[in-house]
Amino acid sequence: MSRIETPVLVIGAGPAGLAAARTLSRFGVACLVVDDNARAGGQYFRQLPASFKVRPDARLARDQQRAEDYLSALSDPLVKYRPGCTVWSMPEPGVFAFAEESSGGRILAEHAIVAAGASDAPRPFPGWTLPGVIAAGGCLNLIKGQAMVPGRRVVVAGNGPLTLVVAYSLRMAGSEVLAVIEAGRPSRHAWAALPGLLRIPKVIGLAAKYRLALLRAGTPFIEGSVVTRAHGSDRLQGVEVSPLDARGQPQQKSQPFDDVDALVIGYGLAPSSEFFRVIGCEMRDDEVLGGLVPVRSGDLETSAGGVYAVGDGAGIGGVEIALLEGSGAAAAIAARRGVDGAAPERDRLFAKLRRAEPFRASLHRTYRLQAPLDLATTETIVCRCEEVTQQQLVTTARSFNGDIELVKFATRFSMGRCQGRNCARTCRAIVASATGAVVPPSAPRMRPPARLIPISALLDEPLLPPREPDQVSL
Amino acid sequence: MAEGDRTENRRLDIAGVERGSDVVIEVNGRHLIACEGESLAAALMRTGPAAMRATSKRHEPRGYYCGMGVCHECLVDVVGTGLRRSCQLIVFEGLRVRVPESDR
Repeated sequence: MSRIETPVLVIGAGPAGLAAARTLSRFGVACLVVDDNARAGGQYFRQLPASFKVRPDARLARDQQRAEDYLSALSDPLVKYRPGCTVWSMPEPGVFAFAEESSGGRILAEHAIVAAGASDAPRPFPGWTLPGVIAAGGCLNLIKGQAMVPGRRVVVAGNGPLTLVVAYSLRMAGSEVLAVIEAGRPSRHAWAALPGLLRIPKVIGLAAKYRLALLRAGTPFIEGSVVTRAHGSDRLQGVEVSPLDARGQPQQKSQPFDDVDALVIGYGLAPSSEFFRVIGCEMRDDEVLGGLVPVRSGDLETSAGGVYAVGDGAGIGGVEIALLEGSGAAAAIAARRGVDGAAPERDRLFAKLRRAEPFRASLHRTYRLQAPLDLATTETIVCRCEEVTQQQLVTTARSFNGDIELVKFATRFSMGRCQGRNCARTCRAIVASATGAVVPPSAPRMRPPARLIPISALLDEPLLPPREPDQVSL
Repeated sequence: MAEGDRTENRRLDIAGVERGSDVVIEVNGRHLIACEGESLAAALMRTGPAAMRATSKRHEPRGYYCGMGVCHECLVDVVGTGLRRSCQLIVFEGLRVRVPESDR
């Protein structure tokens, strides 16, 4: 088993992780950046394969100059970078277990900055498992990472700013966007939220540019409506769209869209906070931040001393906040290590972050829904891996009085390949609403490995007596 | 082969980007021209939204969904290796995979 020592470990090479590496190197602090993707950049700065050539007229909507600027941090002599490397646990403070293609080992670090990113928050509805129905992040990855669109005729649906970004990117890339179906009413609510939104001024400008481009392309932007159904036999063929009624639920009447190649759904993002759960960090559930997030100090340190949480993986805030948090945590660590000039830089960055902070709540208000939106019918698959339907969850929840761990054992929800990273939040909500039970936010329990790793990487692992993450005292 | 295949699977490409050079892979025993550097998911999807696996209980078709290695819906049976996430696997010459046959 290999052992690597580094003063600071940075987990994740997306915007927040890259910003952290860049600030650390500026302060002369060496770090190791690990990332479980083959290429750096995360989702936002996702790069095309090196073998692809981008001409100046390429129809790609991307933030490439900044991407190259931040990615250059990885070539700094003080920064080491390991792609294809997954950190899956912290067996003891300062010791991080990692896995690669066919081997594993330990990274010994005095400080760690975890920038694990986010993934699409699922919202099950009839037909959402059909090939051709894809998540917003998955669509952007096809565009930015593979230079392709998921279809020629596309419907974009969901709730939140990502649908607008996806629709604009698709349009730019040459797809015909038949309609953008937004469940909220951002055009109505943005005005009251404007002061907070303007804390990150460029976002408003981009949103206006995207809406205008869609308007010019003749793409309807339908607010207060949802896709209630996707249909097709072995792949997507069409979708049905219904307006929401006064109670915020879909009306019976629906409008069909036919000959649809792809439906892109984006109901917001969920922080990839599983590593914090696995190592036993104190967690909290925060609707504005997108779900379960680690409790952090003013320096962005978690309850696991020396482990800092930054970027969307610590609470959804978007790229500008992620960059500030990554740099801020890095400056805080440099200051703790006694580097000259780091403390004032830390204070400057955290002051900037505090000024930006109202943006998150304002964005959340802009897209708020009148009532929780439940689009699943009894037969809708909720846990995709184990093919568990809403009805199965409701029935099982009732027979076990809402005990989430027992519902998990009985139905196997969240025990499949994705380990609940997709469905656990939805299943928790279904169990709670079916029984009125109070389900603890971090239930069901999560154990190492935090992410799927090859079993060959575990061959040298010592056999330890089993301990539950929530029994570990840090 | 293949002039035709190549044209056919260009309809989802983004204009202004020159893709990598040809890499021939084998899908259900038939050749498919993929591009150096692209993911297996992209190679399969450039001919249209595709079923990549069938579920074990209901035998329902599933395909690319999250695109970032989380959901495991795009698992493809790689001959000689087993199931791999096609969104995370970069194509290589001689890659052989099996996916559910479609009626279309």
